[in-house]
Amino acid sequence: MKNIIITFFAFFVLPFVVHPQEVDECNYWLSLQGGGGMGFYREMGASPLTYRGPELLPAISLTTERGAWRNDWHVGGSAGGYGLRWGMNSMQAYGGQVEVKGSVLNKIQEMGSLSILVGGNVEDVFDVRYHSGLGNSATSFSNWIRINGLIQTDFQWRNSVFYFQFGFNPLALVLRPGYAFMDNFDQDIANPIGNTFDQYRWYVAGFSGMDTELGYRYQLKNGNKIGVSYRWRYITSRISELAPHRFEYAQHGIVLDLMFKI
Amino acid sequence: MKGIKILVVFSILSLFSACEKVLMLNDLPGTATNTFGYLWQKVDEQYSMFDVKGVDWVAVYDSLRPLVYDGMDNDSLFSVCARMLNVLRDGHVNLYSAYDVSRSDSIYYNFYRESDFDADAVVLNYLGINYHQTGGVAHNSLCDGRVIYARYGSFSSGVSVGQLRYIINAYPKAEGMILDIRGNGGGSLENVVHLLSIMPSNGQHLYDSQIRSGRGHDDFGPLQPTYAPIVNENSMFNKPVIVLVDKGCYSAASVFAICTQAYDNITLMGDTTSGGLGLPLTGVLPNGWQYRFPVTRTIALDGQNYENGVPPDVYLRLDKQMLHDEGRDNVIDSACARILSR
Repeated sequence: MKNIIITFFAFFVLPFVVHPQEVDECNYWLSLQGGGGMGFYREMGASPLTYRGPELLPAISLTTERGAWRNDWHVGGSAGGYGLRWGMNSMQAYGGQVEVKGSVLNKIQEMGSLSILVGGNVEDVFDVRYHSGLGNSATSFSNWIRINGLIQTDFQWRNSVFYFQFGFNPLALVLRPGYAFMDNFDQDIANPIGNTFDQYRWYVAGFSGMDTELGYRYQLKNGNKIGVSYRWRYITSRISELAPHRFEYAQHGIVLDLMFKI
Repeated sequence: MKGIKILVVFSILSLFSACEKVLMLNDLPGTATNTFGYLWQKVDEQYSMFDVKGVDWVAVYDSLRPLVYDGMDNDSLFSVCARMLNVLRDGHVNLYSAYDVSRSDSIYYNFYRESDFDADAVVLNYLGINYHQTGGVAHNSLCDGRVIYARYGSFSSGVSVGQLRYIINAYPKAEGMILDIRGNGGGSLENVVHLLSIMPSNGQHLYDSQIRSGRGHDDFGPLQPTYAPIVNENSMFNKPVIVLVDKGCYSAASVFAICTQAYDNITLMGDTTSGGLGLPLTGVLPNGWQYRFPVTRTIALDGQNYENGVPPDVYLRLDKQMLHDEGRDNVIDSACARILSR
């Protein structure tokens, strides 16, 4: 329920509340993104070793620009297969994340072709991991509700923009299994027999991660934009007394971005 | 120019930040001492049966740790780790490497030496060569159709509620059923629920589970109740059911055995099961081997933890002399007589 309320707030309230009633023209872009990358994670409830593997990175977002303000509504994620060792013939784990976020950026300084923007976003990240050989402890879910700070620099050159965005999370509300991990899936038969392993806990964690994006966008004559970016993300569950198995995840990705002016 | 400098600085910061090795924990090196220590610690922190096993886990560490040194060969390390786990005498405790699997000697001794089930005698003299097979259940009628004999050898063999209803409807003259799960080493608890789904039920309490929740060996979370699946009145098998058990029953078979306490029409007959009522958790060791051990315990309706074996309502061992001389299984014969005498 908290997720729903916060997501609703991020999507439908926050951008309009903080948005100044400027008279500038408002531009909208629908953005389709796709790419690939490498994901690394460690699920301490299952293994003290790092899983690593290729990932697909799809996303869709709606961006508005009005005056100094930019809003972005984004739904994206990653999906991949992972192994404990490089070069394994078969994957030992599968997983992915779904992220939903609403972002606000405000241009606070403009120095010639260089702009500096600051802002933040509210983000929900849902993560699922399935380890194919681990029986009852095969599957775990995690969730983060994060309020992130953002800083971005844009360097405009003719019809091109080079940009770098840095996001950091000072505080997050994290959901993790109190024990590894999901209930015995054999028992999921409309009664509480399978509720043994599901002692999930919400707790507050400081510094749950950071995101960086280094990108390039080119604006076509018709107003559409194409872009490419390198992204790096790190997210961690930290730990709590009741959820002592830390989860850490890092991702390197190259993403192509098609932005259609609407 | 100043702007370009700032952008360059941010780009360099980006490259630095991309080095997650700075932030992520390092992998625990897969040395022999790390592997042994990690396994011992995981069992110490999560294993749920210390109270019923009566094991001094620290003493186990003290006795075996001197045998472990970095650089020892994998066979020797596997042997020491297996010895450590074997102290627990638990069939749900295993160590898996690419070339071997460790298991509890005492439990497997029970499976093979103490089981009261003789498959040849049952097929030849009870089920009959022309028996029927519905899902994982082999069945036929005994005593001129007055008793259903259903043999369920493994909870890993799927059987649906529909298939079970087919079986009980196939013998309209039956006055009761013998459900023979002797030698059943367990499998999926889903099939336990399926079997219970033909028994009379009003959603009664079956048992409680508790999960190990702290570093202390006696730290457990709250009791979590499990209830019987609700059954349509027309689909219930209200007649007497005798469930045959023995030392070969383990894990899901023992769970089914304790569930029978909640049913008035079910009688548990035979020998005490071998237990195995905890749900196992699997994990990976620093050197890539896998382990599993139970992290929950099951409390029966009478408040007991039958991890070491579920006792029958009617204790009766197989008379192996009679089996040898006459080909008769005295446990099945007694169950038949009990049903027909009601």
